[in-house]
Order: sequence, then C-alpha cells, then structure tokens
Amino acid sequence: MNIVIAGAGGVGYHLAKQLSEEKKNISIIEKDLDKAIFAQDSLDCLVIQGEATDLETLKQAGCDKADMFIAVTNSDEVNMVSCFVVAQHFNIPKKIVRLRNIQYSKEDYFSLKNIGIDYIINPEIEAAKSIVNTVNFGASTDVIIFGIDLQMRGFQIDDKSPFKDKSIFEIKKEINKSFIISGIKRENGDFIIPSGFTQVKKGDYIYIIAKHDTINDIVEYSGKSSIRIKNIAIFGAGNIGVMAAEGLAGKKRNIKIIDKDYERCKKVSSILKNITVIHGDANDAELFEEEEIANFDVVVTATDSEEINLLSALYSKNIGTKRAIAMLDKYNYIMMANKLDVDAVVSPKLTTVNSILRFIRKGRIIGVYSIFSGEAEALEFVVSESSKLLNKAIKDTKLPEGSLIVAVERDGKNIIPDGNFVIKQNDKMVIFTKKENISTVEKMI
Amino acid sequence: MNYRLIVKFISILIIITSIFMVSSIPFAIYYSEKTIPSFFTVILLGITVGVLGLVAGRGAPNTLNRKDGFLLVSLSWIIISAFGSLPYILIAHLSFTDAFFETMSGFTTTGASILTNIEALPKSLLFWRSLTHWLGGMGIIVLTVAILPMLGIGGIKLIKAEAPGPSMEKISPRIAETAKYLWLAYIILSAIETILLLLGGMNLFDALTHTFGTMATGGFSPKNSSVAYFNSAYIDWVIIIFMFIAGANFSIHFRVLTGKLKALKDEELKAYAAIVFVAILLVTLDNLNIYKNLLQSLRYSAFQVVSIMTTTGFVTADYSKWNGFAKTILFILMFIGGCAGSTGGSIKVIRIYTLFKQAINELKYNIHPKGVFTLTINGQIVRKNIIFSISGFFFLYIATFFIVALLVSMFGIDILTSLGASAATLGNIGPGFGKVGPVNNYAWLPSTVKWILSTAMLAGRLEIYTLFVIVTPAFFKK
Repeated sequence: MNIVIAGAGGVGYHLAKQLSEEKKNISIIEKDLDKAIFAQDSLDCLVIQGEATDLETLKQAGCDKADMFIAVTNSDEVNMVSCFVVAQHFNIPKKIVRLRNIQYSKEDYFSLKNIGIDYIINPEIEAAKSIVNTVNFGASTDVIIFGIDLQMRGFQIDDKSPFKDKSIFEIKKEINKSFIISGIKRENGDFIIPSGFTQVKKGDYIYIIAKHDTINDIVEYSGKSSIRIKNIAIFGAGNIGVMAAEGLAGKKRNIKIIDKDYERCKKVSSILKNITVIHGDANDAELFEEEEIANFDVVVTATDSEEINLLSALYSKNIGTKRAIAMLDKYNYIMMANKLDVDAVVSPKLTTVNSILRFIRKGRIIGVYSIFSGEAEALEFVVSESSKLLNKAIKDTKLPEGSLIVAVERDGKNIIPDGNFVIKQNDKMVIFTKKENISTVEKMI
Repeated sequence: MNYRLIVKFISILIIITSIFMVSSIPFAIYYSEKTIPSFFTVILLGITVGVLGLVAGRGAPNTLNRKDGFLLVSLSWIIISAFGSLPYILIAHLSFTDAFFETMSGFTTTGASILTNIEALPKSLLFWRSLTHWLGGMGIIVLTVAILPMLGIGGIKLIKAEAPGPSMEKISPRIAETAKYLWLAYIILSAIETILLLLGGMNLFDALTHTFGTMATGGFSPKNSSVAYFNSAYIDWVIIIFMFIAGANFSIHFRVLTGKLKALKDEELKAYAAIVFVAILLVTLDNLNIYKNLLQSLRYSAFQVVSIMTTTGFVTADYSKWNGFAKTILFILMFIGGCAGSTGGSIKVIRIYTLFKQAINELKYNIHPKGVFTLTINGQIVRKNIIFSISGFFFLYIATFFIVALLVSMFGIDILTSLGASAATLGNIGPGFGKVGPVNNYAWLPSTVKWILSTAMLAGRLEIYTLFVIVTPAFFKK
C-alpha cells in the first residue's frame, strides 16, 4: 500500500513510523528542512522537502500511485488546500485531513466532502472524548473501550500491588473472575504478550481486559478503590479543556476550569454557565490552596505546556487530590507519568494517530487501539467467510507469536476465550498483537 | 552498544559470502583443478561460524544507533576480508598478510595486487578474486539489507556508512527496496557487459572476471598484462564505456533503465562527463608523438583516463612511459574519482563540484561583501553543514593521503612510489606510479607497508569518516 503523508510533525512522524514498520510504502512531504532531514534520517520513508499544496511536490511524493493521502501539517488551511489539489489531479481513494480549529457542523462536513475530503480528524475532540471517558470510568487508570462490551485498563505494578511477583495463573486463581492480561511492558522497555506462566514484576505496566461490570472489581483488587467523582478541576481552558468540561458537566458534578489568560477565562465563562471559571496559573501553589484543589476528586491538566501538565498533576496528587489525569504527548513524559503517581494519561497525538489508523484499517477491521506509542495494537474485527481463522480452535490458528485473541462477542454474549474455543463466522473478536505482526495478522483475519 | 546484533549481522554476512564462494566450484570442475576440497573447507567453515554466530546473536534487539552502525560496517569489512583471504592461503599458499591485502584490495575494489604470476594460479581462485570485486562494488552491506530487510530503519544507517558519496538518494520509499533496485541495475548492466565481451571473443571465464572488474571499478584481471592481453580495440572500447557507466550514479542508471531519461539531466553527471572528456582530449593530444595515429592515441588514452578516473585500474598501456603532462593529468584524476552512488572510489565528483562552486561564491563574496550567493545543485539549495562536511572530508582525505605516503616512505621507498601507492590505495584505484606503476605490483613491499595500505584501502572505501570515527576517543565515551 502506498501512502502519502503531508506534514512530519508529531502526528505525521508517528503515523509514518508505525505504517512503515508494517511494510507500507510511505512518502512524507515536509516544508521545514530540519524536520525533513530528521525524518529522512530516522524513518524508512521517502521524504520530500516542499509545500504540500504544490502539485510538483505532490507528484514527486508519488501521489499518482498512492492509495491514501493524509494531510496532518500544522495548518488547517494547508491541509484542506492540499487535499483539494490532490482530489483535482490524482485519483486517490482515501483522503484524510486533520482539522484542528474549525468547528464544523453537519452541513460543513458535506461542503468539505465536496473538496475531496473523505475523513476528517479533529485531535482536540478526540482528546476531550478520551478525557471524558477516563473520568466517567473512575479516572483510576488508562481506559480503552472496545466496540463490544469490554474495556481495557492499563496500570502500573508498584511495591504494594497484590499482583507483584505472581504468575498470570496465580492471579487468575486469586481473582476468580473472567479477565485477561493482554500485555506487559517491562521496566527495561521490553513489551510482551504474556502466557499463563509469565510473572508480573514490580515496575511492569500491565493491560487488563474485562467486561465493564467486572473491571472495576479487578482495578479495586489491584489496590485502587473506586471513588465517586463529584469535584473536578481542569487546568487549561483551551479547546480540549472546554470540550472536556462540557462533556463532564451534569450529574450534579462540581467543575472548575482554571486558565491563566484572563480574556480566555471571560470568554469561557460566557459559554459555560454551570462551570466555575478561575483566572490563575497552574504554577501558583497558593491557587491550589485557595481553590482547595486538595479536596477534589479529579484534577485534569490540559494546558499547552506538557511540563506544567505533568508537574501540576503530580503536585495535586501530592497535596491530596484523589485522582489526576495529565495531557501529555512526549513519549518519555508518558512513560514517566505512568511510573509516577499520575493515574491516567491522555495524549492528543496518540488518539489522533489511533483514529487515523482505525480509518486506514477499515473494512473487516472495525476498531484499532494502539498502545505504548504503537508498540502493540488491539484490533477489533468481524470474522468473515474468507478468514483463515474460520472454524478453527484458537490453539490451532497459527497466529504469529506475540498475538493473542483476548475477547469474542457471539450472539450478543461476551466471551473471554481459551485455547479450545472454536471460531465461527460473524464472531466479533479483539486480537492483541505486537507491531511487527500487524500485517501478518491483518492477512489472516 | 548492541554487540549481539553486530555478531548476528556479521554472521549473516559470512554465510552470504560463503554461498557466493560456491560459484567458484563450477570453474574448478570445468578446468579440472584440485581446488575443490579447499573451497569446500572454507565454505563449510564459513557456514559453521555463521550459524554459531547466529545462535549467539539470537534474540538481539533490532535497534541500531549511529555508533553501532559505524562499528558494524567497519568490522564487517575487516572480518569479511579476513574470511575471504582463506582460499588464497589454502590454495596459493600465500602468507596471511598477502592474502588479506589481496582480499581487501578485492572487496574495496582497489585492484592492487601482490600476485606476480597471475596466470599460473587456478582459474577458480582467480574467479573468487574477481568476485570479491563484484560483491564489494555495490556493497556487501547494501546487498545484505536488500536480501534481509530485518533491520528496517537501522538499514539506512548502515547503507549510509557504506554507500559512496555524501548523500544517499532513495529511489523507492523503502530502504530495502532501494537497495534491491540498485543491485538490480548493477546485475543488469553486468549481464549486458558480459554478453558484449563474449561477442568480442572472450571465453565465459574472462568475460565474467573482466565484467566484475569493470562494473565494480575494481581492476583485477586474471591476465598478467591486464586488458592489454586481448589487444582488441572492440574489447577496449566496451570496457571504456562500462567503466564510465560504473563510475556514474547507479540510481540514475536505475531510472534510465525504467525509461526515465530525464534522470540524465544531473549536474554531477554532466560535470563527470565534462572532466572525462577534457582529460581524454588533453591526454590524446599529448600522446600523439607516442602512438603516431590519432585513433590509436585516443584508444589508449581514453582507456587509461577512464580507468584511473573511475578508480578501476585496468591497464592497456604502460602510462609510466608517457610524457610528464599526461602522467600529471592521471595523477590529478586519481583524486577525483567517480560520482556519488557509483562503485568508484576517491573523493567523488560531487564533492569536488560542490567545493568548486563554493570557492566561486567565496570569490564573489570578496567583491560584494554584502552580496547573497546561494549554492544550488540540481536546483536544490545546498545547506551550509553539508558544505562544511564536504570541506572536512576533503581535508581528511588529503591529510590521510599524505600521512599514508609518509608512513610508506619511512620504509626506504622513494617519493614517487610512496605518493603513488598512497593515492592508488586510498582512492581504491590499484596501479600507482613509480615501483607500483601499471606494469609493477605490490608484492615486493615490506609486510608492514602492506598492512598500512590495506588500512588505507578500507578507509578510502568507507569514505574516511566511517573508519575514522571508530578510532576517535569520543566514540567509546558514553
């Protein structure tokens, strides 16, 4: 598959990295010379330095043979215009555009269709949705919700964790509920898809999949009691903060939103009537005292600065806030946040990458959830007639090593399968796999 | 440092080299030579060591950083040369020094030989000798990346550390595909030359060995008197044309082979052709008094100019008997070499061309101190740090040239021979001047000098930087 990506910023770079590792042919167009050279040096892609709206550049990048065009430069206008130029001159079946600032209604969407855009992705809406979900599920862990009635939670194993130094068998025996440990990230950076004998160690970051009603019991067992969330403080009244506040409002919740820009605060307070808007700086310790952040259930840090997000989330936890969610994009910060006391991380970059991947893989695959910066993916799909898995027991499927079928939905019932489970047509399944096996798995399902 | 991956990669390299060595055996059978047991021993040894290495390096993480890349490439070349020298030791009973020199000379496509009576050796060994050229020409590491895309992004670092020229042009989004296409162009052009040489009356053995020598810009010939042995104008001209092709960028060849003739509009290619043309013209005119007729003079002059400039080193005329002017031109050409992305060595046309343009700009700055002059090549602006890197390379190359010459002269060797040997090995050319000239060889040199020159060949093939960074103290600091 040939894919042209315009823009080698955070999202573009990450997408190119992930897709090129799956042996797809990627060309990147990047205006900035330094970024272009960086991408050229570190990615297995063709990098063209030039404007994404320029026909000659688009041709050089191989648009005449491309199956997909993804515009993710940092300018909405460039993204739209380049997509328009591509639609006029080439015959590319799928064109994806990232639009950040434009709030569009349904009608707008149709007019965007007219200039050739097939799929619009707004990272801020995605991130806000992710914040709302995480809070609604207790804000205790990273949450991934599948289409079928299952969810995946990730959490850190620390000294106090009852999972520490136990094998998966032992943990299963102890909890006696239907669940599956789908992935373990070791302290040294190795990522493994575990078997029953794998030992969970201190410092691991593990992912657990279970039904909605049992997952909270497991999370609780792991040492995090579930809490009722009433008081929420959001730092940063940018688009993400405001959309998250809107999504969280209601249910008798007390929501505070804090921003250091006075004009922005005034504007937000005029839109969000039921929400308290505070003008203040997340760096200011007195503000935390004044507003009694220590007594809040959840703090969400969503300012423009990742450093402030990480530090103020940690600070809130330190003074007594029950849960903290930080908005972070840098891989090393996310890793640090997981190790330290931050309960959950929301990454606009990764959620954007995920939803683009979901669109790319569309077809038999209905959901894609990438974790640990794309080191592994959970693929959700429907078993078709032509599937190589059809009518086989899971243990006989010859799936590549490091892949695991973690959940099946059949006739509206959710099953966490074992090795003897026989796969039937129209089963909805979630398969968990390491990045190097993605293309093999894609061919099998 | 990811030593396990380095072990794994070099093991694969040894296995690939062993497999290529098998192709000597049909010649041993055809010419009824007693070399088969020796070849079998080496091949079995190679595969055993390779498999053991693979077991040792099993499960190594597939990530290479920059330092790993430099170390891996340098070590690969040294180890493969040591391995490739085994047939010489077993069959021709050469000392390890001589065998290593000959193999390093083969893989680095230098073509400097320590053999005095080449034709007396078994044909199967001579075939292996020429095959080392062919494998080294496009790069054994490029080949490995093409066959085994296991390294992914790491492959770029390796190819960059090995590929000739300051930048590596991609002809396909994926590095493994690019490596495959380059090898494809290399194989197609080699096949065409072999056929043309067969038509000129050579037998298959001679056609293949000379093709390997030409396409890799190597210069090993299985004949004592090199290409002059055939004394055929047709063969001379075929080899001239293919030496010229081998000295040009292979990504251009690939584009032309796929019908994109626009690729020929390349500034470096034009500069390369212009230098070759002017040099041929001057040498031909200067040689008129030696060869009497213009066509004869053109044939011998063109052959030697292209052979030296592309760093091949085939010989049809004893240029040490030419006039001073012609010899000086050849000496200067030794420092230019082929294009980036070719199999040729030396400084490379693109670097000379860039420095030349920059020098012109500096002259303009002297006249207009506030003027703005940009250096463009093929319409693209060349960045400052690339110009700095090229200037640094140029300095290091010339400095290495003098240091090697100095070291060689310490062993009581005259100035012309020292300078000639240094330029000819560092530039991967082969024949030099003085006592290592076109009708002499390197056999008589003391063994220490042979080791110095082997190192110079490797330094030249890996474009100075790759070999030099691993001996800087900063390389081993965290």
